[in-house]
Amino acid sequence: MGLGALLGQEFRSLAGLPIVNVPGCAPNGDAFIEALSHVFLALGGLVPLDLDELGRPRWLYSEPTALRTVRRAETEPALGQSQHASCPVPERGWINRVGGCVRVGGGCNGCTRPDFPDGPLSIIAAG
Amino acid sequence: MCLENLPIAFDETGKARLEEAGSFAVAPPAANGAGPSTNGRTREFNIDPVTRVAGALAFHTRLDDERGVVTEAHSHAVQFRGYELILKGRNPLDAIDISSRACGVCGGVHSTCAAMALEMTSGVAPPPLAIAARNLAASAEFVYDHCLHLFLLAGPDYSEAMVRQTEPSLWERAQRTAAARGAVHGLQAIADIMKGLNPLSGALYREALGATRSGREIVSLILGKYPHPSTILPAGLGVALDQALLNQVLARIVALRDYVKRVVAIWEDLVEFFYEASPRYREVGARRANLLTTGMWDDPEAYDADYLNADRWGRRRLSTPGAVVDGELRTVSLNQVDLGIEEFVDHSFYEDWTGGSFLPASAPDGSPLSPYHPWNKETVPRPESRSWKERYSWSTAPRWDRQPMESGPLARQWVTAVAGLVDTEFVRSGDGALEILIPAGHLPETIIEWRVPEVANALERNRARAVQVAYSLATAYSSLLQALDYLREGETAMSAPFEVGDGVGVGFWEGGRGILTHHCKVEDGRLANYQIVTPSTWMASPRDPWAAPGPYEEAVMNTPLLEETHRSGEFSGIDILRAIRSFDPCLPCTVHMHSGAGTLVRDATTCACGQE
Ligand code: SF4
Repeated sequence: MGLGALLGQEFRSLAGLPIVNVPGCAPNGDAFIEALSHVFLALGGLVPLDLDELGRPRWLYSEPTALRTVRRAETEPALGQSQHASCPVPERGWINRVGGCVRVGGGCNGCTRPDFPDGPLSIIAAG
Repeated sequence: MCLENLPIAFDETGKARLEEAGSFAVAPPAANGAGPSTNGRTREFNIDPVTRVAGALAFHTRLDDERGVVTEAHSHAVQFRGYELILKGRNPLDAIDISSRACGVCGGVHSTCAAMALEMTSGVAPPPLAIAARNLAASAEFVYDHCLHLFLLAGPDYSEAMVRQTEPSLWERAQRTAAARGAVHGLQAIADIMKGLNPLSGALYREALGATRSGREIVSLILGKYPHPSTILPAGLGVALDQALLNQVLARIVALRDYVKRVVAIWEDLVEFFYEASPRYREVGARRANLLTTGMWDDPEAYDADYLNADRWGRRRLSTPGAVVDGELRTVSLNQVDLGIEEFVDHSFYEDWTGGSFLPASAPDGSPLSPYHPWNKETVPRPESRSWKERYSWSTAPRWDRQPMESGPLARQWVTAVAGLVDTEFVRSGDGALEILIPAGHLPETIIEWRVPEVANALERNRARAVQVAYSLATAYSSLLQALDYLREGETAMSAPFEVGDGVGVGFWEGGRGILTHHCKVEDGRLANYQIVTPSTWMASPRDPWAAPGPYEEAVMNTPLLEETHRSGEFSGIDILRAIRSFDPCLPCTVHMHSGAGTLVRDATTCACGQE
């Protein structure tokens, strides 16, 4: 997944940084900026670079998110729980703390998952 | 007659039939005229921007510096996208999520278009509140999208940083010219507007960034996520729409009231300044007024997802569907818009699919369909090396009644203004004019007027796009009021029972930059065919079987080289860039410009052109 598949997991930039993965389709803008500022702070020696084993900012993408029941009404009677993704959007919203996939009642298609889009794509089209 | 070049006739009731002895056969291409000038005084000039809508887009031109004209232009989509092949055989519901990825700029329009195609296939429309919410999200998306283009993508072409370098005398003039609408936008001279447009640092540039954020917040509140939404369903919208959520939307609409008035005033002043400086700016990006739109924003009381009624619900849209050929309105019927569409691949990297035993299908209402119509199309890639005379693009050549058509805000407003079918509290149309009412904020209540221009050119496309920001905000506001009414009346359903059914369907929706159609065929519960025609495919199209250039190509060939430095090594190609960018070709960040020898002379990004 990510650039590591192309450059190799051992890749280091000239500044000595590993690949930092901010997953999502598209990656959430607020989370991206937060990740970027974290990298700058780490470069400045102010905080240790805090990435998980997939190179993702740990505090944003490592906790499995408790996704709320998807509200897709009668169109998909068989669906209850959305699939699992580790993603800050259900909790924080999409932009400036508003919106956000399952937060407003929509579905999660797991766009931050390492196997996206090859895994089960859409909850409404699973199987 | 609505369709002059296709063998389809209509009776008094509007029913289509194949003309007697009519044929869709394509006559051999006409002889290619005089061909490009080869007197040795022309030189090649290649522009290689990257677009998101149609994959990467490059542009090849041949310039005659002595005469200041473009003698040859080829629009070249350099990437195969293949969404149609990805979707084939899949669960039809996947189309909503997958087709969305066709574009990272037009948030939600592909998903919505896919949902509508499935609604037609199954014959189920969403409840009224969901339709109003869909309109609300789409109009807010346009506010975001058009501001982004006007100030972040096209704006830098008119900024101090650019004009100083490409047209120094114009910059002098701008400093001496007072802005006529300074009382509205607060800037004294035209030069102040140009300074505001400076990439990254200009006040207008930065303010637009903020406005796009508000637009995205509204979209995210309703569609969950941007650009790829998470709430779009066939026959509904998966969002818990209540008064609290609508209040959050309302606050953002209210905050944009004055901004849209200023956006219009800024672009009106800029356009007039260029016209007054030289009438030749009317020729930049000019082409025949061939315009196509499916219209958008459905009347919740009229839309029933039925092809047989598309004429009726199409006319009730808040932006009218229709086709204009050579400045003349040919139709406002959504069915006729659809019947006129064909895609040709004679100059594209695809196989013709019509050979052999091909039997064209007819439309759901029995109308004859061309074998080149999207419902009959099959995507068969045929990669080969590029030749400007033969095949040179991954874009197909869509045509309406065998004419190259442009679309976008200019087309939407032109058709709506001439048809005169839209008459709401906030938008009036008729006699070739629009009146858009924007309520009072700090600035007084304002009626923004727009008239069909004399010519379709780069500046008019930008002016129309600025007016479209106001049109879209007015539509967002009226959709919101409508949604509140439904809530009050207890019509709170957001979705209708839906099951995938076999059959054919089409979604007619628009992206910010123009017409979008998704044609699908479902067999045994799977997608047997899925055909997407995007606005950039229409406009970036290569030549057709009759050797007629696509809209970008035509506009560039009509563009005079007015740039003051055009004979020196400083040549930037600004007139050509303004011509292409006026179509909003979804340029993301990088534009690499090459001079004749293929050496990189400058590396300009749309975020900072002129500020190397
Ligand atoms: S909640 Fe799901 S769909 Fe939304 S951003 Fe996170 S992973 Fe992607």
